[in-house]
Amino acid sequence: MKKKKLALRLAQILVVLVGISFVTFLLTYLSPGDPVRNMYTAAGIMPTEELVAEIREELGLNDPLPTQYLRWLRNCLRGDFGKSYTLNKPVTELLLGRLWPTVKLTLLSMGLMLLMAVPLGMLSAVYKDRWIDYLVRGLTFVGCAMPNFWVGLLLMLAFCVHIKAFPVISSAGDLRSIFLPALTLALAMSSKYTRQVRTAVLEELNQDYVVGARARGVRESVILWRNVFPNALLPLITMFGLSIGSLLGGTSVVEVIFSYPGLGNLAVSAITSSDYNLIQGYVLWLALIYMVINLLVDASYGAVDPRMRAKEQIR
Amino acid sequence: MKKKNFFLAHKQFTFFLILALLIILGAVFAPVVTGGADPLKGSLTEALEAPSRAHIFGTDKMGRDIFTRVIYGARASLSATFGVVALIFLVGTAAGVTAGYFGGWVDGVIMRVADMMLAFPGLVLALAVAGIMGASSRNAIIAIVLVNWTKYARLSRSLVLKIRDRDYVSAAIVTGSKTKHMLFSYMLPNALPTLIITATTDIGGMMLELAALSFLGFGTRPPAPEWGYMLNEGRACMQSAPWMMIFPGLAIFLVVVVFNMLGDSVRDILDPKEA
Amino acid sequence: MLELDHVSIAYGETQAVEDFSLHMEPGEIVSLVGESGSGKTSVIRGILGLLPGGGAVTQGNIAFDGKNLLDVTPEQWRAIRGREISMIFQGSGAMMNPTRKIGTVFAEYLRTHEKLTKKEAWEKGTRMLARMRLPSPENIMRSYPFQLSGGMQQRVGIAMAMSYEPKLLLADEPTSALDVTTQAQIVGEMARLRRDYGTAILLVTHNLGVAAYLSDRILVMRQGRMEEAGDRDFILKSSTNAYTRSLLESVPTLGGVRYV
Repeated sequence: MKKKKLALRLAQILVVLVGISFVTFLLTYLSPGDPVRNMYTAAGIMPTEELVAEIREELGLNDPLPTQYLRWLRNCLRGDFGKSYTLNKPVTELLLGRLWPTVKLTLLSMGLMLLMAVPLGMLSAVYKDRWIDYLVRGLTFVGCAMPNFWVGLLLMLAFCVHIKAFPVISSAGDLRSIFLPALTLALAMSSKYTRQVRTAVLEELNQDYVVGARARGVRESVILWRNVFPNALLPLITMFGLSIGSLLGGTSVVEVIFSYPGLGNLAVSAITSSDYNLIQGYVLWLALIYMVINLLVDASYGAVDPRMRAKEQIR
Repeated sequence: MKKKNFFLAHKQFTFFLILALLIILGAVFAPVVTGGADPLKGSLTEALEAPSRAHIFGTDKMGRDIFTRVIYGARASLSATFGVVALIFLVGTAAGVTAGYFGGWVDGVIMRVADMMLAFPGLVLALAVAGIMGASSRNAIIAIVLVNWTKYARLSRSLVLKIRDRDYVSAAIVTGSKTKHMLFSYMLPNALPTLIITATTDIGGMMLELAALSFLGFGTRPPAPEWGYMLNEGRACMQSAPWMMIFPGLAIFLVVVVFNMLGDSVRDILDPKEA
Repeated sequence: MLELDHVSIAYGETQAVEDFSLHMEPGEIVSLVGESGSGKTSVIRGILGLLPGGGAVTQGNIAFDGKNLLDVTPEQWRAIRGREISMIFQGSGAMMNPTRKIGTVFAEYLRTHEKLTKKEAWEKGTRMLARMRLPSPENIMRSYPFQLSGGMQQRVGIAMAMSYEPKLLLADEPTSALDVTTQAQIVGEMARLRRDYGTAILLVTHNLGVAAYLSDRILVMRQGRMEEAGDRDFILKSSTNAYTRSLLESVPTLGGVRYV
C-alpha cells in the first residue's frame, strides 16, 4: 500500500477513535447510574451521601464535561485508562490479561471455520445442483437461522452434561476446554461463509479462462486446484481477515455461556455492573484492534493479486 | 383475479407468507392459543416439571408454563424485531438518500458517522449502548438500530448515486423539477425493490441480534417472557430442566427460518437474476 | 474429416440449433456466418463438447476422423482438445487465467499433453511464440494477459492453439473484438496457417468481410437453421437467397463499391 494511502488510513483511524471515545464518554456521562455509588454497591457497601459527594469531588466528577473528557483523554494517551470500579485493578491490566485468551479462541474458531466452510463451499460449487449442493445449502441455511447462543447451550447440554467429554467451565488453559466455545463460533460462522465460498467458486467457474483451459485439454483437476480455487479464495482472504476483527468482539455471548475468561466475558460483566472505566477502555481497545486488523487486511490484498499490484505500479 | 394469480404463481412466497402471518397472529391472539393461561403466574410446587400433558413444554423454575411463555414471548420478540427493521430501514434510507442526493459535505458527514459505527463489530457497540443506557427493550432496539442503519444508508446512497446520473434525471432537472419531487418520483421507486429485499432478509438477523442482547440481560427485563432471556434462565437450570432452553431456542430458530425463507422468496420475485 | 450430421442443440427447453449438417475435408476453411442468436456459436462449441450451462446436443451426430464426438471419455477428450482440434475465442486474453503469467498458462497446457518439466515447457512455449513470429517471446511468456494489447493476445492465442499443429482449428469470432487494422493482421495470420501447416479452419463470424477473405466455403445460418451453403464465390456473387443478400447488403460500401 502506498505511503500516502497508509498515512490517510492511519489518520482516519485516529479520527474515528477520538470520535468513539467522545461518544462513549458522553454516553457514560449521560447515563442514569452514578459511578461512585455503583462502585460502592459493587463492593457491597452502602455509602453515605457525604462520602459519595466527597469521592465525586476527589475524582473530579463534578467538573464540566469537556474538562473531564480532556483529562481522561490525556490519561489514555499515557496508557492509563483508569481503574475498574468493580475489580479494583487498572483497566489496562485487566484488558491485557483477558486479551490473549480471546485471541486464542478467535484463532481456533477461525481455523475450525476454514476447515468446514472452504471444503464444503468448494464441494457445493463444483457439484452444483446435485444432492451434495442441496445438502450443504440446507445445512447452511439452518445454521444461519440458529441463534449461536442456543447452539452453544445445546452443545454444552450434549457434551458437558450428558456425555461428559468437555468441562462445563472452560479455562483458557487446555484445548479441551476451548474446543466447544470455538466450535460454537465456528459453526455459526461457517453457515455464513460456506455460502460465500460457494458463490466465489461458482463465479470463478463461470469465467472464460475455464472454458479456454478445457478447450486446451487441461485436466479438470488441474483447472480446479491450480486455477479456480486459488482465484476464488483471493477475495475471500479479505473477507476472512475482516471476520477476525468481528470475531474478536463477537465472542461475548459464547464466552459468557462457557464461562470462558476472555475479553467478551469481561465486557459483559463490566456492562452489567456499570463499570464505566472498564467499558470505555474495552470499547476503545476493541475499536483500535478492529481497525488495525482491517487496515492490515486491506494492505495485504494489494500484495496478493497481481492485477492490483500492476494497478499500483501504473499509478 | 390478478392478485390471486400472483399468489399462485409464487408458491414459495405464498407459503412462507402464510406461515409468517400465522406466527404473527399467534402472537397477537396469544390468549386464544394458550387457552387463557397466564405467562407470569406459576406455582412453585410445579417448578421444573418435564414436558407433560398439563404443560407441553414443561415448567420453569418459578413454575410457569413454558409453552404459554413461549407463545407470549413471540409478542416481545416480534414487535421488537419489526421495530428494529422498520427503524433501520427508515433512518438508514433517509440518511443514505440525503447523502447521495445532496452530496458535498452532507454526504461527507453522514458517511463519516457511518464509518465510525462500522469501526466496531456490531455486538460490541450494541452491548455498550444497551449497557450504558440501561437494560430495557427500548434501549436494546436503539442499540441495534445504531449499529445496523449504516447498511441501508450505504445501499440507498449508492442506488441514488447510480440513478442521479442517469439521463432522465438530468432531463427532469432541466425542466425544473423540485428536489422533493425528484426524490420521491424518481429515486425512491428505483431504490425500493433492493431495499425491501434487504429489509425482509434482515428480519431474521435482527431477531437473532435482539435475542442475543436479551440473552445477556440487556433487553427486556423479567418477568416478561422473551425468548432470549428465557434461554438465559434455562442456562442456569440446564442439568435439571433442559427443556427450559430447548423450546425458546427452537421458537427463535423456527421463526427465523420462516422469515429467512420469506426474505429469499421476496428476493426471487423482485430480483430473479440473483440466484 | 469433420462430419456434422443433422445436429440439433438445445439449452433445456430452448432450441438453439436445428438440423444442421456440415462436412469438412482436411485443409478446408469454412465460415459459419450469421447474426447473434443464429446458433453458430453453439455449433462450434458443441463440436468440442464445450456447450455452456445446460446445453446439449439433442439429435444428430458429430464425428471427427471417424470418431464419434458425442461419446467421448475425459481421457479421450484430453487427446483431442488442444491436440487434434484447437480452439481460439473472441478474447484470447480472457481465455487465460488473468492471475497467471502467460508462460504459466502455456506451460500448463503443454504439460497436459507431453511429459515435460516446467523449464522445458516454458522453453517450448517460447519457441512456439517465436515460430508464430511474435516479437520478444521471452517477455511475452513472462507477462500477464492484461499487459498485452488485444491483437497481441489474439496472436498468442493462435500460437498456443497451433502448438501441436492440430488438424482442425475452431475459431469463435476471433476478430470481433479488435479494431479494423488488427483484424486485418489476425486474418492474414489465419490465412497463413493453412498454407504453412495444412490446418483446416472452421470460423464463426458475423463479419462477412472476414469470411470472404479467408474461406473456401461459407455457410449462412439463421435462427438455428442453415439458410444457405456454398463456395465463397457463389455465396458472394450468385446467391439468390433473400437473407444472404440482406447480409451482403448490410456490409458498408465505399464509393459505391462493396469490399467483400
